[in-house]
Amino acid sequence: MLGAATAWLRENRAVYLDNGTSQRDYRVQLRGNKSIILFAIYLIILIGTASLVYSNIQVGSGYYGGTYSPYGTFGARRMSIVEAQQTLKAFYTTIMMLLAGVVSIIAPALTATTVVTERQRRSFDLIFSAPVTPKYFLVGKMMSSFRYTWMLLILALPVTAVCVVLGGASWSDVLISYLLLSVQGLIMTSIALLLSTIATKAVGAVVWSYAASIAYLYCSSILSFVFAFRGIMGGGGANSEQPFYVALSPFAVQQAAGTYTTIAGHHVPNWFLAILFAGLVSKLCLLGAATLLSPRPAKEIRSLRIHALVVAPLFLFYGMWSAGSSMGSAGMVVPTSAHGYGGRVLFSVMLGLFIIVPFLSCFGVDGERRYWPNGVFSPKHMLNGTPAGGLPFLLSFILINAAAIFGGLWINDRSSFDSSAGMWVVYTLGFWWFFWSIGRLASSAFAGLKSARTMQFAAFLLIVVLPIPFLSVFFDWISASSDEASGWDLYILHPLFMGKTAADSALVWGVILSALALLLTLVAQIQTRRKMQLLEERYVRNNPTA
Amino acid sequence: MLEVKNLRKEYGGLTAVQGVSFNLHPGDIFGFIGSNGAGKTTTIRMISTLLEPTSGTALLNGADIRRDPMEVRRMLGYMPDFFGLYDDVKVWEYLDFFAAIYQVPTKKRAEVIDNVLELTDLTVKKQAFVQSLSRGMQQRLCLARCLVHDPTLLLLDEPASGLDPRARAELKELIAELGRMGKIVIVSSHILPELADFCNTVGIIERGTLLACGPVDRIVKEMQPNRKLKVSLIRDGSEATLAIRDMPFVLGAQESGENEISVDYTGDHEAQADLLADLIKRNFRVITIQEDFADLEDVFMKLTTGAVN
Repeated sequence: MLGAATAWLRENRAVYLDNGTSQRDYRVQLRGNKSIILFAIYLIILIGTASLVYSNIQVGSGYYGGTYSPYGTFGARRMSIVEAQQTLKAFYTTIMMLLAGVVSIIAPALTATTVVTERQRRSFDLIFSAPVTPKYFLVGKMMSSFRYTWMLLILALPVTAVCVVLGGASWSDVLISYLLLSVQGLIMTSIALLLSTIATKAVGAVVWSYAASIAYLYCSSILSFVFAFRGIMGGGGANSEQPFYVALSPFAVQQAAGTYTTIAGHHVPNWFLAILFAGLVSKLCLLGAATLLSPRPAKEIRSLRIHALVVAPLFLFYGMWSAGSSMGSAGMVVPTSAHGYGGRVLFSVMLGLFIIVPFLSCFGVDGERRYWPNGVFSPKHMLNGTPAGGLPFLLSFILINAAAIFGGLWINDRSSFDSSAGMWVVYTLGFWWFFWSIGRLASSAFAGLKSARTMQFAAFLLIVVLPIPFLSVFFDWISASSDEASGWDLYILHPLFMGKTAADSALVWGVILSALALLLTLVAQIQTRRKMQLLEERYVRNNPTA
Repeated sequence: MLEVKNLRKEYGGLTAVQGVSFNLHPGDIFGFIGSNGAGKTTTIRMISTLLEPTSGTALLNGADIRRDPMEVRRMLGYMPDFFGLYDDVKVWEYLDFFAAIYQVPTKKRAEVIDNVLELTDLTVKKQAFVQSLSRGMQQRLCLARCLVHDPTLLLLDEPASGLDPRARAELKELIAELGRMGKIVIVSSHILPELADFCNTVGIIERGTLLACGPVDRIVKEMQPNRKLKVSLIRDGSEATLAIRDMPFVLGAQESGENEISVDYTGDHEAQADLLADLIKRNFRVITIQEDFADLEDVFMKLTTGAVN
């Protein structure tokens, strides 16, 4: 027991305090004049922008306190104290927005190339033949990227200090805002690190990282501003009790700084929950990256899948529960039925699986790592990353998340819950089983793992995205959301847009997709057997003594 | 001690390595010989824990590559057939990075770096950038990297490929020195003269099967149990061939060139001297008589067929 604890401490000391990867990157990052020049340019831009914003506030003319002032300056006492404070708060908001922009641009850019360049340099063999875990390597990479982002935030401290001195913010506001910006930077760094591990070229890694960061910013900002707007509508902007995800957008840090969530009668600050969330997202991203990097990934795959089965349902449960309860308290329209709301949420959230399903369904040659078919459906392989465990994991993941979503809604409103929820579950299961079977079919047709994954991804785009422009040309978009028959009935995502009969449509689509999936799975299985026979014959021919 | 036990790697229908077994002791320099695609790199990667064996295992000082890969990694240094160098760091920084990942205590790192630089004759380049080094120096730096944690086993995959003759000679000397220091060194190559000079043990692999393994002398002797003599004359080669065939300890003789005779011989040096005296007595004008030693290349060519997986 003591020995295990000592080993754990030693390992974590090496990972977090004496990380060679981080030290090496740090030396390179700060070498020569390059970084000094970059920091100088950054400070000049930051201070210049802040000065411009401030001078605009100071000399801008307009209506102040209901009276037009041609001078505008609050220094000349043409502005009331309240107005001046509001103006300075706006100045502080602008500075924080600027810093949010810096974090959003710098964090993905710095991280996106870190792992992919190591792959191009072929240095993984050197690193992983040493007593190094993927965790050690990835945490080192993350620390070096994140440290640089932090340095940029610290360099901006004099500018934010001006806001405090002028009265636009307090030190605690600044501290919490910095904490939230760090948390959001950590999330974007983790996502970029995962994408850098998946990518084979640096340019691709940068492009994908920015795309993912934009998606993250878009989703988190919508959530933040919806709740901020809701707060204003519900209580004039003074409502501080809000779901924690208001604290996830870097562009709303000052609005989220004072918010809290009530858990078991206690006010838990949202920045604290945001830190927890960022920690879990980072862990999931690092585990995902570790499964791709590790020469023997079984342990990492197991850990990743267990985390996914626990963390995703927890957040969905919390999301459904908090959304329902806070909407009610803010006077917003609470979803009238669990099936109408939860079913769509389940399907929409699960759409994110399009990134993961190719990893669960496809097999084949991947450089030196080979994934060979070991069956179609074997629950005992669910956590070990082999092809037979892919489908059981996928179905379990969907079912557990469905339980979390409907459970969250059920706590808020038990009366509106009916069997239609099951129809949406059938639709979601059928949809993903169908795409899983396409991956199997592609794997049975191609030798390369990458080709199979690309085929599956292409099939997803072909079936889900491509029909939209074609159907839009021939059929009115409004008819897609009506219950009347139209060409949109043939669109795979049609139940999402429908009205009253959506659940029935979901069930029909679910059954059709499950039947198609069964057929494709059988064809894939026959083709795979034939392929394995050919390989076996080639093996016997090459090894007559075997 | 390294014990490789029935190591096997299958990729679906293809068997890249089939049941490779051998034992090596401290000081052994093991030449792993095989054509491209024979299974050398796969075997080395399995021993270095970078590849999971399908079956079989290897034990390094009792640590199992399957059950305890981290312990094995602490005791081995692996140099792949490519540099994988970080070109934006200085030589000492590069070594410091590897010392850190091999968990060499911080206080000892400077001393360790100086020692390995001295051993690999790179002390003068300590402050140079890695990218500024010549190919030979980069290869020596890679070897220095493998030595920072004082490993028991060194796995060197094609270490001399692409090096000029001088750099190759320096590297050979360095590897021989490591053997004298008591390390187990596995060197894979398909360039046979490269290995013959300093390896005391060899393994010949083809299509994933270890065809022969053991000390160089023993393998050569096994492949060529009889001595082979080469007799050169000024004239009368055909007559001399007939005469030699009737002499004692001669298994066979044939003309291998103009006035040159190749003799399969079982006699010792005393008998060989008698054979020469007999030829001179019979008025054959002998220029030389010398033993034609078999080398690794002969053994390799005899054993292998050139097939690859």
